[in-house]
Amino acid sequence: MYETELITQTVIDGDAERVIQLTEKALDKGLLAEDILENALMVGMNAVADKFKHRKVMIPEVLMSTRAMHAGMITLTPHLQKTRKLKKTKVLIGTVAGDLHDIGKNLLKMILESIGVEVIDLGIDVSLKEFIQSVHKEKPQYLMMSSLLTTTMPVMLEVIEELIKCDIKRGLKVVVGGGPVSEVFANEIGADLYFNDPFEVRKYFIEKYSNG
Amino acid sequence: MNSALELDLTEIKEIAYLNDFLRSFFIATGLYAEAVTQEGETFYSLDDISRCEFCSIIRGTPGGVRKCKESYKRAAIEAAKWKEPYFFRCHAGLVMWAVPIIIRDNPMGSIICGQVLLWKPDDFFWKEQEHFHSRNKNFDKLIVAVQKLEVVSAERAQAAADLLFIVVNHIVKRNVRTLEDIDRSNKVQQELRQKMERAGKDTGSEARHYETYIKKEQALLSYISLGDRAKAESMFNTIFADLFIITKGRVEEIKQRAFELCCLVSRSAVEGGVDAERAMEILDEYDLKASDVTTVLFQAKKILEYYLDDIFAFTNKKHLGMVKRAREFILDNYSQPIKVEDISAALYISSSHLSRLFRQELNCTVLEYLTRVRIVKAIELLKRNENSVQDVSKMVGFKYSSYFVRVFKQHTGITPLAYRNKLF
Repeated sequence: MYETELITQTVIDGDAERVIQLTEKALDKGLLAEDILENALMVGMNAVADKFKHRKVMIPEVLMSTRAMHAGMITLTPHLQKTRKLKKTKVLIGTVAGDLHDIGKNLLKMILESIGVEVIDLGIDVSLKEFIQSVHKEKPQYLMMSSLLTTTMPVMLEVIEELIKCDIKRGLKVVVGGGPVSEVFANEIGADLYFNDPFEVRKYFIEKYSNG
Repeated sequence: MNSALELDLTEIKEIAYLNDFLRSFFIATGLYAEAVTQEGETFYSLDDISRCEFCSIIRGTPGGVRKCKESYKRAAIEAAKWKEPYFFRCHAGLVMWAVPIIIRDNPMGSIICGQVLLWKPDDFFWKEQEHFHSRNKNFDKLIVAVQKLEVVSAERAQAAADLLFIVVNHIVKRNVRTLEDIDRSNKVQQELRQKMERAGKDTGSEARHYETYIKKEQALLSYISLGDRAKAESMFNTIFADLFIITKGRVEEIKQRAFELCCLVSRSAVEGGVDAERAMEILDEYDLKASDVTTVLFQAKKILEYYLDDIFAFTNKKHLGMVKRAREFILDNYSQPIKVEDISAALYISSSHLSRLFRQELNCTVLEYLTRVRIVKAIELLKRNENSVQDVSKMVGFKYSSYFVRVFKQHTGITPLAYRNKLF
């Protein structure tokens, strides 16, 4: 669709104001918020991430694109379908210690909240201690950890081992994700679930917890 | 100057140069810069040049200075971690960058520069400001101050950061080689990450065990002994990605395996033509004290490159081309019953000339090299146990299987049949 392609390009260009205008226009035209999110905004962000991997974009430009993405997300939030009534579920989410990336995490949080899941965001650079303390305190059904750096992935294993040691792993499902994290790695460290993208997560929750 | 810093006199001299530089930098670019410690505390700024009005207002709010310090501290840590300029948005939403000051491997702080915007203050900017500091009493004053902020392009911000980085490094008399090493190390980590992501997304990917790891190691070693550079480099990356997954990122285990790999590589390199004394010299460069995955990976790769370079260490470029082409021809045609004359004819040179080149550059005869290739390939085929010894003999280019058996035994110590049976 032309509108989505335009939004994608505007995210890549880093023009936040224009992303808002185009997003509002697209919503007026009748496009679904979920559609715009998945096929316009995320495509744009993935393109920037890819360019960055190949060193074809400067970091200041990435900052601009992140801001544009954020602007688009904020514009969409009130329009995301909230009609589903899911059984009460609580999720703890955070980016592991040493890692400051949060776009993926924020996207996931937004999507989960839109389907009625309670999300407690521990933020970025979350230490092993913080994860464990929060699990003790909040008693969620899911703990989701994200990492975009290979150097911080071992923290995930430490958290899982500590959870088992403190005997609070029962009834808690651990989910891991992020660029370099793969299903193979997730299995190796003993995580319960792995998803490729936030939309798979949403599908999983809707299927599992629908009342209807 | 903050007297709480523990710098010795020579280091203070290095930092004193910063004064002249920061002043010139400000006059040339109009960009404000100050030097902060790893705790985010400002330890040097130009006396007569003050921060922008926006920052002054922010710092005047309760907790403002503390929040600035925290932003700077986090940025200084990241910049020191990556050893390159770190771009970020401070707690008040301005764009800044931190350039690490590393003196003799110790991070001493960062130059914080910027306090600019990468975009015009638009409607969304104000939404963000409401989010960043909602109940600010001086919101009206902020609106006025924002208009005075400079809006720079991404290129200009990047160029300013790069300039600062180059100069800071020069001032602290960094070894240029160290910078190159860091850049290469980053590239290597990037490659590893890409390889891991690709490997992980393979739907047919088998779980990673040491069994497959060791098989890949053996393949790498055979590529090295045959001087097949491209395959060796590619297999190296694969092995490291697998190793990371098998060990779940545990540094000690990775260190151990990496060192073992380098040892094995050194022996294969000797087979590939590297002089044994030289091979040991290269291996001695391995630093057993390296303690993070990136360094371990990078130095293993460096060692591999040294060996591969040496296998191709030619003094004469023309010879390089000739012997390389001969090796390529052999790798492409070993399965045919080719002779030395066929190889030299393909290169339009006499067989005596080719023999001389091989003796000179690889210290073996053409036939010895050809045979080595055939035996290595034969071993691969025998492992698969899909063909009889007679068939394998024909598949690697031997006309008479009795001859194949004799040569195989000479190279490996046992007959092909015994080898094949030993495995199963």
